[in-house]
Amino acid sequence: MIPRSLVPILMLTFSPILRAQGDWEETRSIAQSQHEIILLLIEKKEFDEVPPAAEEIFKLHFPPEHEDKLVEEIRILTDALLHHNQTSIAHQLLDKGLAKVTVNRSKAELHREKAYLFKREGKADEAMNAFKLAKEIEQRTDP
Amino acid sequence: MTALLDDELSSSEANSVKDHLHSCSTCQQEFQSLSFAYQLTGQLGELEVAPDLWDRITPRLPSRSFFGQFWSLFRRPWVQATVGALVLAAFLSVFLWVPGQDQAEKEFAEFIQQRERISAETQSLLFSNAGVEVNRARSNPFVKPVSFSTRNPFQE
Repeated sequence: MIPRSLVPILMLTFSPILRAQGDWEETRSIAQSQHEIILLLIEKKEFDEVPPAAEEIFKLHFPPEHEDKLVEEIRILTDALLHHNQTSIAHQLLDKGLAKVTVNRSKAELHREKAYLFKREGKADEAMNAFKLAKEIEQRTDP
Repeated sequence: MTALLDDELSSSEANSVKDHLHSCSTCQQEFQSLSFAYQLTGQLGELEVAPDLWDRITPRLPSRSFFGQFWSLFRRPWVQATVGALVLAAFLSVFLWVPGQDQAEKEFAEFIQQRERISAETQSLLFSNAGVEVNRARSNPFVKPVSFSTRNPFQE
């Protein structure tokens, strides 16, 4: 049993952690639903609706330890949009993502995605430049 | 004038030289002197060269040093052109060569290959005819991930 005198101390210690977990849970849940909506829009070929729907995800707060999920989301959307040759929207989402993420590894991943997109568009020089930039960013240390 | 004496000119060229010689006393004198020299040399018979002449000459020639041999080789135009081209190529390669360029291209090619594979997997998962909704749910990155390429990262 925990002594009563320790309860306030424990609450003070763990409440920020629990609150952060709760915040992330809410973010994750919204993003999960929004992901389904965006894929439906792409499936229905309502491409103009994709950027505003994706914006709902970009508006959410992603803590650095969960940024990889946002990067993964952008990768999946890139593939889905590429499937329909909607490369300009894919670039738009990648640029939004680049403005959003803070961790160098996430930035590097998104620049690599841009490299892939450029390559698929037949823009070899731009692809190589984006890939080199990704490598350069990857070597930086996060503050 | 030597070409005229050697019968190397066409008739019209020969005539024009002869016309000039009639009108120019200086050239006429020069031509006469040249003709005389030609007559004298024509009277000379061919000399017989002793068979051992070369054997007697070669020991008296100074032996060439390595540098001398190199220099005589370098004086040939084709050698100069080759060396010049090699020096130019070496000079340009210093400026054009970027360290790690090949490595970056190799890594890029590997990345594209890997990414193409992931893309194909994702697209087949998202847009295959069978069980689209199930596949879409599996590709949601917000789902608690089981593997990198197939799950919604936000789904638990």
